[in-house]
Amino acid sequence: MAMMTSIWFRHLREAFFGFRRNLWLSMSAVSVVGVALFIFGLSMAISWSVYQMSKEIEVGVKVVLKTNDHSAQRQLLQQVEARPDVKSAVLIPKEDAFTKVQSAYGDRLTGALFKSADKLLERFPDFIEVFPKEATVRGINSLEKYLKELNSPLISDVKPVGGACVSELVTLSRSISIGLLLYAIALAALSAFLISNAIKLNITARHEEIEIQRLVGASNWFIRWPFLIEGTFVGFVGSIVPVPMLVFTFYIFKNFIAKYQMFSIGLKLSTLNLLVAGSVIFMGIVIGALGSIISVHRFLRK
Amino acid sequence: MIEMHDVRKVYGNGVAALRGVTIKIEPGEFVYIVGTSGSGKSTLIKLMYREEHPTTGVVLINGINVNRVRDWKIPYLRRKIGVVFQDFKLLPKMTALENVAFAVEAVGQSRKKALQRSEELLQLVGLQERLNSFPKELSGGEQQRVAIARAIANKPAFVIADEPTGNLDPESSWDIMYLLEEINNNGTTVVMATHNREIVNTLRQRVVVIEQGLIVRDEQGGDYGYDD
Repeated sequence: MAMMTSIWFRHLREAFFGFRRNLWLSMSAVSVVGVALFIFGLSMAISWSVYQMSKEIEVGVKVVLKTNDHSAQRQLLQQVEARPDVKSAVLIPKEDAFTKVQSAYGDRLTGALFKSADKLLERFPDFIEVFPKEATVRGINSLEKYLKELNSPLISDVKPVGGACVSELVTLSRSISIGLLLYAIALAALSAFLISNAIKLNITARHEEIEIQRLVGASNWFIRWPFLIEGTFVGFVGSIVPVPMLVFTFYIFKNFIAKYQMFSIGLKLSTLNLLVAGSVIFMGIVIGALGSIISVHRFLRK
Repeated sequence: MIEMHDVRKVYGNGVAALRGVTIKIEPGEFVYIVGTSGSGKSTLIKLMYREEHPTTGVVLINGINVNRVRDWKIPYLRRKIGVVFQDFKLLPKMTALENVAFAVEAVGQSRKKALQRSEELLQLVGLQERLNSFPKELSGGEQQRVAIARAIANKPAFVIADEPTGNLDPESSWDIMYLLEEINNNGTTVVMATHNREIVNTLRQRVVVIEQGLIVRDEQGGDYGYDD
């Protein structure tokens, strides 16, 4: 046990000396890791937030009815409600729909086209609004397909509601996230390259020492550990820096949304923070370890 | 035991350093490898501690074919072999004690045990007064003694020395030879490449002469036998 402690203490000491030996290069690697992971965290946060928002938009399918027969309408309503993927279905008589539209547009609806509101009301159909349990584009599409395939003589049209909005939101967020993610990957590769160079400089400085270690029979892992610890440490420090910056950015974002009452804030910031912070730190460690493994592997293969 | 069967070594630039060498070195032997510069001595030595790979042929260390040993197992093979170089290869920023302890630590011993063992070894090579001296504060002979202490630190079965007296004055050379002889008397196989006619002709041991990549003479108790 004491022997193991002593060896690990030695690895840590060597790693620390290595970090100090190339302080400026190590610090530049830390900065690039920090920037890469800030962007990575931002990309994650955007995807997560949009996913949460999309869940809050009321999406469903509007079924336009041909008939005024209330009992036939109720029968259709019950049939639709019985489906396992349907959360709720509501029958909306044309009077209610007309009132809603009239309150929104006022007298502009009548005028030249229709002489009176009654005439206009005649043109309004009754309809059923159906809301799927899975409030996603896939959920709506599946429901829409089912209703169309019913080929019911009662139905004149089936239209998705809110689906287009969600679809656009998801597509937009996906594009932004992919763009940011690609940029973050490029920066992560650059950071791994910088860490790898810092380690390479360190290996060059300790070239003679390592050669002797190899000659006297030091195992590859004995040689590798100090460099691996050094690289991981650089990655870890680089990942710590963007965490408070990301938390602050989310805080600002949350306040912005709340101010404009865009959504009812289903965003759970504590979950988001934990998720993003955890992923960012994990990525930092992976980048650091990867950078050092590349350099040491190349050297040990010689 | 070290065995080589029809070993050939051709370097990337086309130079054939060894052109079919077969040799067997029994445990406990003391063998001089002699030959002119460029004859293939160093290549032969490097093949023994697997610093080089043969182009064709087989190198066996205690029955293990070193060409077939996986890379990650090479360190364990090297622990059976201590290597001494002409230029000592000591780390300048470490004291004599630390240089030896470094080799003991490298095979996984604790710092405390490594320092304890190194002190014993440096006493054995007569440097008990110079434990804390840095290489530049030591004479050539003393530096080579530190290197020998480091080579035997992990109790190897073989010590391979590539011209260990090449950089030393005659008096220091003899000190080193007596030390190697003592190591050999304790059961360790010693293989030594050398140019030192006087040593070979005085401390009579097995002599293997290499010329142009071939063994031209292998004689127990032989002499140097040719002009440099």
